[in-house]
Amino acid sequence: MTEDNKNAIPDTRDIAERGEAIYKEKWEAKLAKDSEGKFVAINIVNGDAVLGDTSEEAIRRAQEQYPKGYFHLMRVGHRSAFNAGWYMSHAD
Amino acid sequence: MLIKQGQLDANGHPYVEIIVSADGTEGSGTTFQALIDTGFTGFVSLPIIAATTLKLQPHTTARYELANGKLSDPIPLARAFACVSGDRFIAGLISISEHARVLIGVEFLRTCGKSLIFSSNSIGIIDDEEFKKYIAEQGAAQKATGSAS
Repeated sequence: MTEDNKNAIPDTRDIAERGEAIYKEKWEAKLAKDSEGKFVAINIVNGDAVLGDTSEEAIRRAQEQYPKGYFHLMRVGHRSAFNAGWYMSHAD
Repeated sequence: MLIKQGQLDANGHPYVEIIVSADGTEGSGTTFQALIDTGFTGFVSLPIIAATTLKLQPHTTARYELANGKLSDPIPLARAFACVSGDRFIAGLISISEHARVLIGVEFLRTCGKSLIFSSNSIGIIDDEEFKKYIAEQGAAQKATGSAS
């Protein structure tokens, strides 16, 4: 994201795709060593990562550092932050 | 032992009454009948319309691994507060979903310190501490019976 459009509100897919690209490029290998299972909030504006033992802790700490930030949440060593249950997986 | 009783719908799906609030202040929030989904590892999932009514501001995205192993489209999340009706609010991430039902997942049960009790025709939610006490008492009673016989 450039300085010019930093204040524009990105859409959901945009946040997620940027966050995933930053995570893969900058954090995945580094965090895999000793942060397995932790939640990580990726700040899509500056590429920083904030860790937490729970999803809420990661996002709370990220918001404390970057109150106006947009974040993508990942879980180290997992394909996604959460598992969907039966209802989310099957409901229309 | 204090048990908050939930209910099973016609299909046997378990529901419990919860309150969700944007700011967690006492007396705030909206009450929902929430489906307890033990396969959902998140906190609470709300339909878009409910999240909009509560004025939740999404700032985070995440994907979910579905039951078939595929990843979901990105879902917006907002930090807010929820609790079992009658309890104190706990902070968590609310998923803002296109689905119609309100769900609670295992992160809700864990952070609220709740245990789930299922019977053949009803459901209850109890504080973890109360449940541990009950298990310990049962264990002690069984030991005493064993020693006496």
